[in-house]
Amino acid sequence: MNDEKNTVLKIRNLTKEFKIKSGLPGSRAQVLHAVNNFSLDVYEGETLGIVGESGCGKSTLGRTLIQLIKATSGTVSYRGTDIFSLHGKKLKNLKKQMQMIFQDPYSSLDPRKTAGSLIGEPLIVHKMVSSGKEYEEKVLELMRSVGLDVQHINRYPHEFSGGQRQRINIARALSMNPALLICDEPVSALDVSIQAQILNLFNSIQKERHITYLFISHDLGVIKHVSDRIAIMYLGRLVELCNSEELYRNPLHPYTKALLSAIPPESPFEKMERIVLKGEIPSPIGDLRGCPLAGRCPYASERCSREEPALYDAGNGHKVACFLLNNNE
Amino acid sequence: MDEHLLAVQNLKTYFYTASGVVKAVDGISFELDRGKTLGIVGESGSGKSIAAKSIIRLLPVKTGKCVDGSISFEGKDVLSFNMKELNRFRGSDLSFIFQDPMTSLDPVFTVGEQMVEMLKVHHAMSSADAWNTSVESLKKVGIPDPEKRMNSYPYELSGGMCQRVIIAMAVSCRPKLVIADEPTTALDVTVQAQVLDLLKDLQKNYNTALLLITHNLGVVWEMCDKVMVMYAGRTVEYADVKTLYSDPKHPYTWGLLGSMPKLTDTSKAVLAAIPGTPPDLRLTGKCCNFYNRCPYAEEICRKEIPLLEEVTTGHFIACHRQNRTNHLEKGMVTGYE
Repeated sequence: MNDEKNTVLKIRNLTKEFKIKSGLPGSRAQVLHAVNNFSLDVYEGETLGIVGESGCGKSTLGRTLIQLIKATSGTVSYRGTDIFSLHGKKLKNLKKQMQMIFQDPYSSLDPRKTAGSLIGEPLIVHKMVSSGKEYEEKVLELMRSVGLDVQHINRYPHEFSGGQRQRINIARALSMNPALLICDEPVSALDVSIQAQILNLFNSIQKERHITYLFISHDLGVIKHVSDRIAIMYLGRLVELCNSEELYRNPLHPYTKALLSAIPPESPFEKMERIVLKGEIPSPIGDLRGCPLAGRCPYASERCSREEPALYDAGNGHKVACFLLNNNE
Repeated sequence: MDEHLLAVQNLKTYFYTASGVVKAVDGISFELDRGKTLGIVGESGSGKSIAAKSIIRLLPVKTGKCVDGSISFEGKDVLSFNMKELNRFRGSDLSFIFQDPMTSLDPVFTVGEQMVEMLKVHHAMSSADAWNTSVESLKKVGIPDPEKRMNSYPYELSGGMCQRVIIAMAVSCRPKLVIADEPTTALDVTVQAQVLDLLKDLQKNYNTALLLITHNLGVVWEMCDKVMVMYAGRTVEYADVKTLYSDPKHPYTWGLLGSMPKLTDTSKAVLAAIPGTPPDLRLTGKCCNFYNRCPYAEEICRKEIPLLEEVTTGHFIACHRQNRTNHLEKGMVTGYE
């Protein structure tokens, strides 16, 4: 890989906070830190996998990026333009470039529209076609490219299986010819045999169209399979970022090590040593001082509960936020 | 017969719905011994949960019915139990762990009330004894501050905690058999690892048999002695885990193993996905249920149901091609693209 890669998406200090009210009279609103000071570069043509346990803010991150929810602070620039400053027509044009695929293929499709009109709708909204004939050709082509039977063009979502619905979602996203596709757990609602079909489809689409993927998942096997680089999130923060091969060969952050060792074995012959983290993920509500892992980490020192470690470059683009590796700061 | 704790013979569970008869479980057989673990794997809709619910007879009264086969527990016929025997069986001989920990506890009672009630009913304990036993078992499953947690409502606990409470309830009755239906599917991997370790410990301490239903082969490799692969209501392969992993014989098992993305694979390799989707269970019947997705399907697969036959000792498969698959190796499955 060359060092001078084109950056498609530059995320700097992105923070998203939600205010939570308990509903009791006189109670003060609390702050939930979903994404906390998150910085990341996404390069052209790569698949960046984002992995973390539930509640770590990975979906919020995806939704903030395509501005389904408004970020509290921080900037995101897409090929040099600050996307949070865009309005109206410019924003609409940007959304053509960035598309999203959601987790649940059952609730993300309008049940009253047919497969054909679901796939073709974005073409009309964004005025991408000039004639009815062109529209029809485009829809059929999209259906073929994601492996849907063109005879099913007039079927409704409930007549399709989960895997086929996810194919409709993919075709819908592809209709805009996006440069960046944010996939939020696109295969976690599917069975393994169907999941494998969809993962293969994602790979072949990327080969054909050179789309950049931001692939969000909680399944390390899936993430490893699709990604070039992997970002590990914990409690809204980026704790480790590196090449996918490197991550499995040489994980540095204690959380990553524990996460990897918690994966069930790949064969009955494999005996594994487990690094067990005590307790559970702390609540993202309220202010947290120090390293987010401090309370569970077997190597935690006194410093960890006082300061939050910054991302440290361990060489070769391998970044990790842990004092263990960066003592001399 | 009494050498096995649980023996299921040719069990068939059908659902009689307005749109036809759904053959959810269509002839499965297995045995489970004391202290052992049997895994049932399959995709959603393959009938694995219905098989488990048939064993504890938790089927919907009006539509679901075990039409054929037998279930015997310690030599007794479960299907002929009356209400009283059934309650005993469900309460003290067997425990069931459901998939969703958040909904399997009653939200309007505290954890303590639910645990105490169960012990009083099934073990005729006094309230004070039951309370102490419950605290003890909460401590055993690693819940911090068990006395305080006894007064918590389920919504105050996280998913992992709830699953621990359910496991604590399951073991406080010292059952001979625990049926766990996707016990870790709703949990994160680190919590999943904790829960699996817990189940292993309990099994070791009490010599409990475990029937583990899951779609995650990794969990099977870690936990089970034997594994049964189900597809569209039928057993397609049944063997001990090491045999199944190193020498799978059924094309569906090949596909299932190939579909799993592995950490040791190089990134972006093509997965051996199985083409197509599982069949409609109303329409299955007089053929091999896998024939429309199988790369080796022949004329006979469309006409006859393959019987489950023993190919080597303890290794059963249901495939018409069983004698001809020997020259094919697992890595040579080229039909899957």
